[in-house]
Amino acid sequence: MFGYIIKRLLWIIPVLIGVSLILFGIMQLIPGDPASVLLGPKASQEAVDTLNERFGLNKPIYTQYYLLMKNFITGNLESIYYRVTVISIILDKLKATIELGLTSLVIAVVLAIPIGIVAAVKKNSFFDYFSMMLATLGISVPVFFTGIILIYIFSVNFNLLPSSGYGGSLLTVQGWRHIILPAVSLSSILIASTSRLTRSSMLDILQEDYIRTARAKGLKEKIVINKHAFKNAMIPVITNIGNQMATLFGGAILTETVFAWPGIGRLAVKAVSYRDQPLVFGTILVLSFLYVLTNLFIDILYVFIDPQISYS
Amino acid sequence: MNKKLFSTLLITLLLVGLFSAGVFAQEDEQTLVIGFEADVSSLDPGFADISVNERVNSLIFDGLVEYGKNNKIVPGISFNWEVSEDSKAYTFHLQQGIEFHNGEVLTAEDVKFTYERILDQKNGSGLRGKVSIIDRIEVIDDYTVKFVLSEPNASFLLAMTFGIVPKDYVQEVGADQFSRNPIGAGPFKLEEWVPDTRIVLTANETYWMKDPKLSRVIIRPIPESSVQAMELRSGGIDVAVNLDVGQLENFKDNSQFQVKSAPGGGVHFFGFNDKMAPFNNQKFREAFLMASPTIEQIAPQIYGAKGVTAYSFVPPTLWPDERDYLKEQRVNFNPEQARVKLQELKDEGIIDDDFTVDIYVPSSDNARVKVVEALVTSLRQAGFNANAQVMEFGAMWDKLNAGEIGVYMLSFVSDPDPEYWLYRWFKSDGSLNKSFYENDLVDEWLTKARTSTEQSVREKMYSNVLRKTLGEDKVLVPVAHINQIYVMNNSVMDLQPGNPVIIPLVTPEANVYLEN
Amino acid sequence: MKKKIIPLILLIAKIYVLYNNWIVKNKFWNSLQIKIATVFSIFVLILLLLIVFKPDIFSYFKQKEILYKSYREFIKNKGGVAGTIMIFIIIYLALCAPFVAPFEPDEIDYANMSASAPNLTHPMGTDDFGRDILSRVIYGSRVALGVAFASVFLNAFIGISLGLIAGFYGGKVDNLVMRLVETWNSIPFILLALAIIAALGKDIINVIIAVGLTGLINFARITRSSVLSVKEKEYVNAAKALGSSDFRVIKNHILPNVVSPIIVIGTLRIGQAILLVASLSFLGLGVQPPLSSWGTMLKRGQEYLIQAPWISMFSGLAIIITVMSFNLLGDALRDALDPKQID
Repeated sequence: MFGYIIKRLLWIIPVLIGVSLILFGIMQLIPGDPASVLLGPKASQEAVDTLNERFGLNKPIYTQYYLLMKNFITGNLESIYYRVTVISIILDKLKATIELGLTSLVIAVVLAIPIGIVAAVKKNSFFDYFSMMLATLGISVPVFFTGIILIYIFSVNFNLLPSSGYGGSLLTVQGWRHIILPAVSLSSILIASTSRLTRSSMLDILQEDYIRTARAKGLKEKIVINKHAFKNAMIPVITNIGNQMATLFGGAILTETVFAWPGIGRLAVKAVSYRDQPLVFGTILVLSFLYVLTNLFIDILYVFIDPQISYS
Repeated sequence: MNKKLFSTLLITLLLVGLFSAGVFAQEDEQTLVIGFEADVSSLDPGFADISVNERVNSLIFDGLVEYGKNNKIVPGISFNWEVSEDSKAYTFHLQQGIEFHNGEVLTAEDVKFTYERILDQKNGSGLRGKVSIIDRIEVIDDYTVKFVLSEPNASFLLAMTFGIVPKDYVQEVGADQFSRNPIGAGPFKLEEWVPDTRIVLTANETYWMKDPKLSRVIIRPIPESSVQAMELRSGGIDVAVNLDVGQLENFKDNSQFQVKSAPGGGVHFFGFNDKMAPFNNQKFREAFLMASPTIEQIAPQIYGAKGVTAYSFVPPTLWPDERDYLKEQRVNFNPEQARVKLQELKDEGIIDDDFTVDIYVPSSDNARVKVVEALVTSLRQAGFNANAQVMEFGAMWDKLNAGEIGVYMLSFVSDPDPEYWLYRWFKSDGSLNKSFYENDLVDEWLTKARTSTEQSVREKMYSNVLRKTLGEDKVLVPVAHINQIYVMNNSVMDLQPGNPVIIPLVTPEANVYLEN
Repeated sequence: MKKKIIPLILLIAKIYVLYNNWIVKNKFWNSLQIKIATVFSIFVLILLLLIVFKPDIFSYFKQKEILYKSYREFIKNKGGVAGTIMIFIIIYLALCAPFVAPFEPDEIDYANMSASAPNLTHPMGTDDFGRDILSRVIYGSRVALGVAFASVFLNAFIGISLGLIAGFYGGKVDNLVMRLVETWNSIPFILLALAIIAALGKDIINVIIAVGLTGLINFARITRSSVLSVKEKEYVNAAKALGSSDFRVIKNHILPNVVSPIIVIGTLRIGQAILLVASLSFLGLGVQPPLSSWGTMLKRGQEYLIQAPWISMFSGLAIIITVMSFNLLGDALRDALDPKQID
């Protein structure tokens, strides 16, 4: 088990290197350079040259790549647009994105799993049809559209909640007021897919032999569900959540844009438009790292959920 | 049963608390929150390149002179100045006792240092072009400084608005550090800067001009116009700049908000490449313009309150006023004629049958993109093959400089002197001459106007330039003059737009404050 | 007789539409898009005529056991049926747009460029240029479906090929290919699409490429596991022993097994592709104006959300209904074909 974890952690390195190569390659193809972005149309040739010189933009590409990676590892990567270390910018944003992501995750899990279980147990009831129809609707709506509608209703029309921005730590009321709308809109897709999957997974399990055996033994329905069915039904659900985490981090970009949430996704989008290579590098590598780490975490979680799985 | 009731109660309380917290949350009384359309990248006034940087710098730094009423130059740090007989030497007398935010006293040495670092080619400052005629700077005494120019320049005073930086501090921390931790002599000092999130400024209690009524200014970069509009509505910001036309319309009829507008936001125009066929062909340009809906028709509808139809390249508030003349030179909308001309051009072999017009425009301004969209639609209806190429500014700039673009749409804004508007765009070696336009006569006029200090001469020269380039050659076609518009809630007092390079919070004319 | 009423009504409607366009407006063979509309209309006309007058033609299909069984399963799922009908309608709209849309989508009345609320002439209102939104939504379906199908096709092609290679050759090749796919997958897809479009330019082809290249892992994984499960089976080894080339083995034995899960995933991916394109348009990376896609209309409508919400509303609805139809269809297919095999 331990060896498995180490092996997986080691695999992260080549993956990140692969990501960095892909990124670097694509960035090279993008026309336009940071000089014209930063200095604007009124820039003089000297200003452009000074900038390029300073950030090594006129060096051969393998040198540029080498410098980028070296700086990334040592933490010296410097943003061209903001001229401070990428680390210092990212840390705050990372916190904001993770807060948003985790809050959405919690909302989704707390809402979706019970809904899915009830829908499965009460199969073909009104509740079942209604909730599943809503769920299918949920995965059909673009995530930013949900956000826009929520803002329109809660902020503009009724002025109950702030429409954008970061409110501070989640230990404060302001913090919560600012995170609710973005978290709900971000979680909408996860709620929809998780409840559907929970339902179908529960349905599968409930038909299994051992459940019938438990029922035949005379065990109360509640115990049958809670103890036996639930744990096993969760396996594919957790897989799905793991898969969706990538979507969560990726979808956070749209939610962050609509709600002006100062997260890493929004920063990455800006970085690309600023042609700020070091910043693009830093942000996307961090996002990829998060994703890979989350996958690892989910896989480890499996071991505790399904005793049949072992990684030795 | 009890458990359920309890948890329901708890959740209700929580929700009530969350929703009503908005009522009680109040910012400190005199804190103004402004929404900007882009991120600040540097607060070093010597390198003020992009507009947002310039504007925030105007709050942190002050210059030898300031913009006063109607943007006329009035005394700033220098209360008095003399110009020599030959117009080549300017001597400024500085007010005594002005302190930088770190307590150091502002002297002539700081002024000299400020301008020398801009002049130094190694530093690569984008402002260098505006002051390159300075031959040398002499410090007469602690409070007197003299600029000697290599030749007379009528608009020199406008360059004296640049923010003065503290020599000792800059030399101590270096330019990089300085751009992140600026120290100036302006009405506000930098308290906090979180990139991509906010900039917090606090009032300078020892400000030389007057006591700022505001205690804090928070600047939030919110690029999306619709988000800014929402924020303004929900109280997240007090002032929004640069909103899209659609959002503006909303606020105009809303009694809870003030919409203040002033000319001076720049000009939107499109230009032809004078070195690329067939865009350099006069007949082609005429056909193109005939196929385009009259600017009078579409500009007001696309720009609404945000702009007025433009006939001249310089804004209506700036001399020389050639609008009437240029209006007459306009080509009228005539799609049938355009079709005929298009066929003639094809018959004469000037363009191929599958020739396509690509109009390039940066994606950053919605109104501009809409103009191009309307243009492309109209061109297609007249029989042209036309495409809109909306792309990021950086990508387009590259192509433009490489001469790959036939027709483009851009915007431009600058200081209130026609030289700043015309010279760089129309002179053969002008730094902004993206049409690659070369005309000896125009060059002559521009040079003459630049070096003369006689108003009548300059006016005549610039008139000639406008008539030739816009009226006759039609190398650039102005579309609209943009208004600078501030939209703010009713608590903001005394804030008026009027100058695109500053935020007039504390000026000779105003001292902004909040009133509930 | 009851069963025939609906097709009869449709037939009459279809004939009316064709009369209106061919005879009255003389739009028969004028341009490429009209040619397509005409051809497809003829196809639909023939289909409707057959349904109304000669329904026994379809009894041929009833004889094929497996197909019929799956068909009956499928019909049970009301959602799936609704989705399928909706999709047919959308495809019809997309292909016959020039015949069905009341106005030209790009037509601007330069004297009157303003948004107006839904009324009798313009059932969905007009946008800020005064263009009819119903027509733009109808024409927008072509972009949506076109880009979605093309990108999913690309996505499937690349993903399946990779999965086949990984599964078939196994061992080190398998490891390498799957690691590469995982690496590619760990970059957030929107950022990847963003970067690709920034690099290649804003063009409909580039949007297809960008969307087609993201999320390959779905097709790759499912293909690979299908291949792995079949690889060791007897008949494959037998075929190999008899000298069949690798390609043939893949074609004849492995591919048929993979078909069902791929169809399901493909259908679901179409919905996702439409959402992804809408998201990209929202970030400003969609197709160039004046071409209208639902995503760009949504974005455009944001500026006028308060005074003209119908711009965003109808384009948003179009997206939601279309995506939902594909999702319902995909779900129904998954239930009907083989629920155990597909995860």
